[in-house]
Amino acid sequence: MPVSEAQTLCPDRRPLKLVAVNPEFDRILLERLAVVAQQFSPLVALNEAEEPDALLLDLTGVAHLYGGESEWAKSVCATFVSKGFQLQCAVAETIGAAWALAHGVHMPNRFRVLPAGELDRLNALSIETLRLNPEAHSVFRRLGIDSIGQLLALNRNSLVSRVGRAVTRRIGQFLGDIPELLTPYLPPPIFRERRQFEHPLTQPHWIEEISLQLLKRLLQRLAKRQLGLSQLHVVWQGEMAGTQLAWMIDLGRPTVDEPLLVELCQMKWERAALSFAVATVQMTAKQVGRLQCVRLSLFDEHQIALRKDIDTLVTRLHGRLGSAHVSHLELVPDAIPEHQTRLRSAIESSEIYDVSLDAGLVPQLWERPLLLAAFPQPVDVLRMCHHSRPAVIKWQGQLSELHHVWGPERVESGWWRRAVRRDYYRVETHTGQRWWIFQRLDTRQWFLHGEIA
Amino acid sequence: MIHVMAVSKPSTEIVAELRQRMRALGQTQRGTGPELASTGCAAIDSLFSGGGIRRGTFIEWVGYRSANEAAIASLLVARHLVSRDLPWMLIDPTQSIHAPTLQSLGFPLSQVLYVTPPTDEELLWSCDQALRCRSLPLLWVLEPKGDATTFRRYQIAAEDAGALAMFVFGPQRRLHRCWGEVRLQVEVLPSLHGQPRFRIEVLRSRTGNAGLSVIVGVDETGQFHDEETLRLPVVPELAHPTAGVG
Repeated sequence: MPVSEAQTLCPDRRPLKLVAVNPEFDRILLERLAVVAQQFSPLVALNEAEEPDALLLDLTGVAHLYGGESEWAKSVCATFVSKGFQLQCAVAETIGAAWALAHGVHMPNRFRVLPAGELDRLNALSIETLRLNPEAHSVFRRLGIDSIGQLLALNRNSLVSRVGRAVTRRIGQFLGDIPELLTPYLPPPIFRERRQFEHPLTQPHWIEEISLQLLKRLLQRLAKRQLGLSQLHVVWQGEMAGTQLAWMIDLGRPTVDEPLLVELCQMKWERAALSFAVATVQMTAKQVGRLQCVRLSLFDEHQIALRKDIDTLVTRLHGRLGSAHVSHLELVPDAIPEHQTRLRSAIESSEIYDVSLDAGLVPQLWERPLLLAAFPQPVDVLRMCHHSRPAVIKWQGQLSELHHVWGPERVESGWWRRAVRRDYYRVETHTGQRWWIFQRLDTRQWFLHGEIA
Repeated sequence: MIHVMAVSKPSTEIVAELRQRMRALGQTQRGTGPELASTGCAAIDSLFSGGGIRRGTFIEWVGYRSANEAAIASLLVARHLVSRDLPWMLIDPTQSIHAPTLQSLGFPLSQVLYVTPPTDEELLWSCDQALRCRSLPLLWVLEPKGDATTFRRYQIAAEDAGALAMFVFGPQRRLHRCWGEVRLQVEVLPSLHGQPRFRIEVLRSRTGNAGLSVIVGVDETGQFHDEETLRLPVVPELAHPTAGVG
């Protein structure tokens, strides 16, 4: 649905809250939920799809610990609802049946348990709940087969030649004739080093020394597994609740470069105002990644060394200034000049150096100013020439006669945003300066937005 | 009977030897450029003793009326100093650079490391770090701040690492002492044949070029041309050969 259509559905024309689709984030969140779900089953899996969106739990030999399947499902629902999630929970004898039940009956935050041997109670559900491929769906829709019951009434052998084996496999999985294996989700190991002191420390250099020892141990553990540190979380905790200092250090790419990490840590610590005695020091590798192996060749060795040197500089700058201040510029297809640039963290994009660009976003040379004023400055147009173009303007008390005027170029924002309507002109003054000025179409006021040259 | 015997070295030894030779060639290079870099325009090169910009230095660009004049001219020169394969650094504390224009000047944005230090202290530190990075092809800073000690520090850092940097200032900088290898003043002149023109004058120079000035124009591709080339008459478009036939 386009944004404009969605906006019309909002009551009282309230602003629409837009959240970009982020499959990677969704997957990370689902993996975290899988870890939470491990308290209910020894075997928790994500559904096998490119973008998984469900958790599958095997409760063989588990349900009796909760007093039955209903009680088990009740506990699962209560746990996720208490964390603020909405879920569809179903228990059945096969994965296919549980999937159909969870997706076919919309009852958020309530669970459904299908007793064994009662699969025929699902016959009324739509065939869309059987995890069939879209081609099979369209075939069945043309044949007027909508429900599971109708599908199960057909001869399975004849289905193979018409819609393929994938459909009969799904039917078999639904009925339990074909076993379906779960691939358990195994959370990555936690790399954490922690030290607690009997007597809290007050001397910063002792705390730093111990922190560095922990860092070295952490790096050794990672190196043994051929892993590098991508994000380090350091916590100095006091005895009293709430007394703690914490830092997050982001790195461009996984590394076990000890001198670099020590330098980054020290940069953070040297500006820390420690106002309490430290009882616990903890270092956690929040993100780790495989150490990258670079294949050296005869001719690009020098280039690789240069790139590595620059990566180290970026990491160092990022460590001290933060991700918001070390970035790559990116163009945004937006009519409003102030919104045509987006910043992308240099750390996130350290791998990407050649970005294909839509040529339509790039203006011609001498069409736009290099330095764009954050706040356009008012100018007075003292005289207009024919075609309603400015001829003489006054800015900062100085009169300028315009020898060349190009424009207008109309810039308008979409109606769903704060209305911006401007007519832009490129002008050259008698001294040769080129300015980018505009007239607001609502108030007829003139502004200087930047100097082109 | 003649026996020909060839004694060949192991391939690993040959590769190591070739690497050693290439490294020796690279010792005179920083980034991907030579010690003396051309600005791409002979007239501007003539403002520098030696005929180009020497690495291990920084250049002060001062605008005649505003920093914008100096910023544009310096970036047009910088196009010839950056490498296609390596990112370069642009420090913009005011966050006023308009990215589409930067792209139109011929810089792929993916190669620009854009740094916006939040405080003067961070600006100093960032410049110092960048100048000490031996692999960075170019550092470009818009209106850096600092006292004599700061700029002396930059000078030493650039010399130590063989850095190449451009510091861009507004007209008020003319009152301050010059710490760069050369201080160039840029003034925009009325355009000729629709092409913008700049007067670039050496205000201060460590090598005695002070007072020299050139007038250069910029064509639609962003290439500098000296005034003589600029004044060459433009050939009018020929009439279509079929026009007037019949």
